[in-house]
Amino acid sequence: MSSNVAQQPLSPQTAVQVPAHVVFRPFAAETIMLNLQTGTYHGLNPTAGRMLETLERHAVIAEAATVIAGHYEEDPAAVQTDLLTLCSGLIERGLLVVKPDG
Amino acid sequence: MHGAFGLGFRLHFALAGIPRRRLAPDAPTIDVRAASATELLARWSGPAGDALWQTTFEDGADYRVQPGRDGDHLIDYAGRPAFHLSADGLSLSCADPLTQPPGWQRTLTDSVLWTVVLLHGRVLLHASAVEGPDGAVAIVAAQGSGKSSLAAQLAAEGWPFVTDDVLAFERRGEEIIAHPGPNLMNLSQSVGPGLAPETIGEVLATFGGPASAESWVLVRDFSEGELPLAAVVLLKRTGSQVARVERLSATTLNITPHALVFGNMEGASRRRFEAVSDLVERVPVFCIEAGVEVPPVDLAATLRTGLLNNVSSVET
Repeated sequence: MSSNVAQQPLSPQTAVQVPAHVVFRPFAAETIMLNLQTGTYHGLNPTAGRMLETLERHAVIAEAATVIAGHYEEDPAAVQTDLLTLCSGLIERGLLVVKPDG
Repeated sequence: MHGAFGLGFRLHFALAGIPRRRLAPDAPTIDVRAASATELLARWSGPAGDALWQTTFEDGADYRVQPGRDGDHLIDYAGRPAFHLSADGLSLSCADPLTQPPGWQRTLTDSVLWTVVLLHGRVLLHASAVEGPDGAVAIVAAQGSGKSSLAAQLAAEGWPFVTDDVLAFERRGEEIIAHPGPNLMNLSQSVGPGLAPETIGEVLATFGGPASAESWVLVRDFSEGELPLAAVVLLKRTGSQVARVERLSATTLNITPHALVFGNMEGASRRRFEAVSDLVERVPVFCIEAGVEVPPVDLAATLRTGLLNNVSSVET
């Protein structure tokens, strides 16, 4: 299922979510994600972990990018590009999915 | 009520090492009864699927946990059906205690009881533990690295014993609670200079050959009930002659290899992830490193200093 979703092009207006078969927990050193379908653990550095949490709280990638850019005082366009790259990587690993109406 | 690992046990035959304890009001109570082999098999609904777990103990005895068609479980020990847990998990039948091999009672208190805890859907930590000033201190290490020896040393120095080898824990609000196990220890007879098993309790039996003899010890001074889990200590053996302790910036991954669940049970991976993550979020994790030549008394001194001062790094 995740490979079909991964083929959909991501845009700033795409809405994403952590699927039910993935659990994650942020720690100071890194955010740990577990794909319950594969049994594989993944680690995200603190910046990527914060991006994931922000993505979870906002409707679309562009909104999350605006919030993160404000927090880190970075260029929103550059943050949006980083977020799209992160989302692609997570989708490829089955750790994130595009919301059905996203 | 007799208690261990956070469960109550109503014992219908004499069993050393399961003391009376304060338990949580909602703790399940399990009837532990002797049964004839015929009665035990009459209660068994028959196998359903593969074994949940099987292993061979150091004494060569096989141990196998088999789920049944009706949700009950049969445990084979030393090649024959020896224990049966009812589908509701509240009745443990033990086949012919008087005719079992010498290690039977140790297997019951060491392995069968925590098997029952896992079958109740709980997550356990492969750890020894003692009671420090702020709560339980769990010592985690690879098999044979000396966690029992370190726990015994700390017990001999006055920290009450909590558990040997397996620790039950749970999150309650914002606290992680540790549940003491049986007050029994398996101690290598070459534990370390100055620490005879009799120092901490009564030797009930000795198992193994001359090269690997273990004393099975009923520990005198032990925790009476549940207590907060104050620290987890990862004991690592290195080539260093110096013991060094430091606090880690830990994540789930530091503890997961030492967390026990039956992987084939529904939802086991999620429960382990949540339980271990809850623990790491709330309990400081330390690492103590030392060569195998460093005696338990020196390890204990380093650990006490590190824990009591809650410092980031101590060397002795």
